[in-house]
Amino acid sequence: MTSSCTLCGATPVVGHHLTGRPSPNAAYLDPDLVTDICQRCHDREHVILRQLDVEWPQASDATPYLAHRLVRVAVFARRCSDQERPFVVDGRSALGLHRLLLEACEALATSAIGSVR
Amino acid sequence: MTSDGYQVVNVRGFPGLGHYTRPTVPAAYAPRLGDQVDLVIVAAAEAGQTTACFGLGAFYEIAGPSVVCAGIVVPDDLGHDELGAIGAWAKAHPLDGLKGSVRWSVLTLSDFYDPRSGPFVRRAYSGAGWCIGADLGRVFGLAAEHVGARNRANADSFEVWLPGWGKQHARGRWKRVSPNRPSMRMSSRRVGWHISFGPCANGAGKYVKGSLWRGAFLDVLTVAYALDADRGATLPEHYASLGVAATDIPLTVPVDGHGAAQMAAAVDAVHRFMLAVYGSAPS
Repeated sequence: MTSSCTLCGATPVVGHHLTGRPSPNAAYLDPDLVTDICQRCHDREHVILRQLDVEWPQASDATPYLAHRLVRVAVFARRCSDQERPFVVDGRSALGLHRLLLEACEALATSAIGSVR
Repeated sequence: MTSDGYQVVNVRGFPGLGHYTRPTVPAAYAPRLGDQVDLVIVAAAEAGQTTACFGLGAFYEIAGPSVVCAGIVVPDDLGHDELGAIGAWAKAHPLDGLKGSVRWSVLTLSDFYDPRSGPFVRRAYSGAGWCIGADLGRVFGLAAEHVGARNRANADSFEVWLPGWGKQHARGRWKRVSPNRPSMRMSSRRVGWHISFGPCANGAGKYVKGSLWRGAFLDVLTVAYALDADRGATLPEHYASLGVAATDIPLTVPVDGHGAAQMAAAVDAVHRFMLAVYGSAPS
């Protein structure tokens, strides 16, 4: 666990899974993509995600919740920017982000090929 | 200490040695801006009316500097053309939000203050976030369904019933519609307003740490006065003295797209002001 909350700098106590789960008891969509935040920030982030209607994915598609996962990461990146905090992920989470971005690139390439055909 | 070495002690009101109670220890942590999702609200009367009636309002739901969602509040009986004009303005002026471009929602006064699930109750009562505004007494006074003067020891304060929160009974008294939704109480301070939720009977309503939840209302006029001690200053003058770009809160607005733009600028100004104060506050 990192030494400070990604959003406020307090002592972190929980790992916030940036992309969440598809349903309450399901496995995490990106189990490696975690950032350490304090309990107060964690509670508030989930209130914000509920308000933005991205707490849970809407429906499955060909790419497993890819748009939903990217939006969740984008929302968190914007939160870091608004809080004037660096968007920091540790090595394992960076690997998770790497996988997610590659998956998005692959989906984009596939859709581009499909549209050309 | 007297000249002959005695200590003079004022025992007026001394409760006796058996009634000593330890002073209350202040809480180790006080809620701060951005701890929860908070609400920023502004309102203005309708322009061209002889008596002040609600014209337009605007609100932000914020998490510190982030705007989670935003909306324009319109009167319940707004005509189709005016509603269309405000809807067109909202469509043409999206907001840069957390999820990208966010459209201003257009809510009626009753929807905004809906006692079950409106944005106001969700953030200021159930959610226990800050409710921030400029001249909050005017904001709630314009929106209220009924404002009554309180009496006896509370003679200088008002009881405010928001739309849908109370109803008039046969002998003229206003009472709660739901036992869990109290009236609001307002009293003027030297500058700004003191606003709180009233009590609910028989243990109903919201409790926080064993005490009735009175709300967390913050009038930026009071905050500004606390910081610059300029009692007679208008809000733009307070802004100038605190180094924030000045935007006035209009008292009256036309109920159309132009008025909506004015209210949007006003709610943004209040948000920016709170961020400036929060940024200058010691952590």
